[in-house]
Amino acid sequence: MKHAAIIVEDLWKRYQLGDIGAGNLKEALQGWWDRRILGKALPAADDLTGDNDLSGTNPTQDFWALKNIGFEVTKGEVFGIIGKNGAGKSTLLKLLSRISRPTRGVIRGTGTIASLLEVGTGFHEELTGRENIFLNGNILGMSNREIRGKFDAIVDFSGISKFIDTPVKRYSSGMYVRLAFAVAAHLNPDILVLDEVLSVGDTEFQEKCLTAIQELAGSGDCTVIYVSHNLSSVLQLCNRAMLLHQGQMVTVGLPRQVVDTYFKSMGKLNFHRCWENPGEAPGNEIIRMKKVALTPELSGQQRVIDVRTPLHIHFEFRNLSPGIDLSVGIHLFTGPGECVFDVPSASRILGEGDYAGSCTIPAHFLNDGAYYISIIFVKDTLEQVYYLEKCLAFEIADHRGTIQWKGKWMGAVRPQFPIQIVQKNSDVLR
Amino acid sequence: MIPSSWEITSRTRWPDFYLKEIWQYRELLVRFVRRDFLASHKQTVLGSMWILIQPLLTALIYVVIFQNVVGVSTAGRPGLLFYFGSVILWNFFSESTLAVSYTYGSHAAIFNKVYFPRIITSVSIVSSQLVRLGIQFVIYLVFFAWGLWRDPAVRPNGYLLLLPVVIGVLALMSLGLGLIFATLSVRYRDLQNLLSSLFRIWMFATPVIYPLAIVPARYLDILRFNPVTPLLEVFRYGFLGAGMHGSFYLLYSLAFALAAFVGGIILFNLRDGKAMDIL
Repeated sequence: MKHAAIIVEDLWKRYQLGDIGAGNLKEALQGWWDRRILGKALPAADDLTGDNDLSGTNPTQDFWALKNIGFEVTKGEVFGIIGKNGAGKSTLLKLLSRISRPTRGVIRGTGTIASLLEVGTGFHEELTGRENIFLNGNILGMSNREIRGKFDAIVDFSGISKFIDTPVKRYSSGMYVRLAFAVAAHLNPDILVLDEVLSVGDTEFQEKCLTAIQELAGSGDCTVIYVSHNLSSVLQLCNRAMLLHQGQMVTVGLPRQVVDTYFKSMGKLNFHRCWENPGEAPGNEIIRMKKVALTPELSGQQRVIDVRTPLHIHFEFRNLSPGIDLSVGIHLFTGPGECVFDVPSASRILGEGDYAGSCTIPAHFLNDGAYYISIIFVKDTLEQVYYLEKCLAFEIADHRGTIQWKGKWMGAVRPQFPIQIVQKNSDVLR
Repeated sequence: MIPSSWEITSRTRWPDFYLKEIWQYRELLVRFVRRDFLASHKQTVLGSMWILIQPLLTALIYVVIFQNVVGVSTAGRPGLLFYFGSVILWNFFSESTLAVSYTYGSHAAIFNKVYFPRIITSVSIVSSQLVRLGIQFVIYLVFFAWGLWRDPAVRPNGYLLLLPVVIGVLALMSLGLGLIFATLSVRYRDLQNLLSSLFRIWMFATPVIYPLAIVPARYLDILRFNPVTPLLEVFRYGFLGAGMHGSFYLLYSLAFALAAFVGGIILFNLRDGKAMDIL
């Protein structure tokens, strides 16, 4: 019989904005004096007895990180949570793993729960690998007996048995992460809450982590809640997924559908920008932007941009400086900010008025990953007159076809230059 | 084992003094104590000898400066014996309290990533300090034996059986006060700067480097208002036969420690749910 491992009902989380963390004693005493003794009404400053009251607080100081979240995760399921930065993913994880308390609502669960929001929590620099395995294991909720039982397996998995009695501060960062994940991979809770642990380490190690999670999830005993930016890993691992946007649930369902919804919502936000009102449009006294758009040429059934998709870039602007000798350049950057290319248009003399430009990034040119585009306007092929930074952002999914290798494909670009292999001499065959 | 059910809500549970949870997480508690010991003296030549050397040096400095140069009375008992006992007890109290006060700061990285009852770190701090005190006390006993043999002024009596009570009350008091300071300093960082100065002043207002007997009568009541005073005095009375003891003052210390402990636990429990949002 399938039953729920976790039930989340009507979950809300409020944070207070402002200088809440940097409170000082003087202000607090002053506030207390004003309120209690002088009887002045002050904007709601949370007092020391901790109120969980939802009403009567100043709305400008509050920020609802989660709004009315409710879902159920069945035992043995791998449940993915996706969303942009600031969508509330981390907050939800913190509530699920009891690090922070909800403002309203309830999370019910059955069985032991372990959360893995980072690898190597509590690792102490001065202690040896061996000592840290026990420390980290205890912190994550394993008993000494359990750790002793799995000790050899943990050391094996980490592949650093030679250094197990060396203080971890002597480890390379790779070794450190290996050891840390090795402990985590041997956790055996009923429910596992996982943050993007896969974003650490080299690609080989990431593969190993993914396999470890898949094994854990495949066993059917362990319920996994998995939060990630890495959509392909969500598609690969999860049975069901949820999309969060600005603290609210957008959709819950099959990972494929949820990822599609996510891409569509991204499209609205990042693929197309139009400024109707010239007063609000970005620009200066020479250039006023009107529109930038990225249109992927998706074929047939395809819903997601992948390495096979040609991308059309289109931009429109108004030139306010008649007679200018202008050239427009497109700068394409990888997500981490490395420039892939800088392609300028031919310079030409423009009169006052509206202009449009376009460019196509061909299929099989960019590698999978996140990219963004900036547009530069140059006068006399010499002087920058305007720079529209990060105006388009998009992500390219992978497509391997018949290639069996699953590791991360290196490089910012993945062009299909033909490589011909010809036989030079046929003597060997005789 | 049948998986147990649990619930996370906004409500703050009335504290049950965490006994069940501390028991459940006892291995983690012991692990933290081990970590403190293993980590604190790595890469030192003398290693854990420092646990003894530090209070010994302090006591020797007191002998030279306060007993020999300034001429403060040690109630006619050997200076080293007098100071060393006071120093290890006072250090236990002040270091535990301060370390518990900083628990949110020193453990923020862990608290932010994984859940276990937050009280565990505080209890582990006081426990490690207790172990240190235990080790130091063995040396105290060596000095004490030497004092008994060489100095007829050292006259122990039945009050020395109160030693576990003295240490227990100090431990309870440092945990309670530490939790109160820890909770308050989440919101008011000023407190952390204030505390180390406060404890330096507090030490001089406690008969650590002088016997209570030399304090002029008009200050006596003020010093006795200090809950650590009766504990040190009864300790010295029991072992050395010199100290102003009285069951009323001892009960006052006990009551103070209990109040601090209960208050600390309640306050900590009330605010703990919010602490991680502020840190």
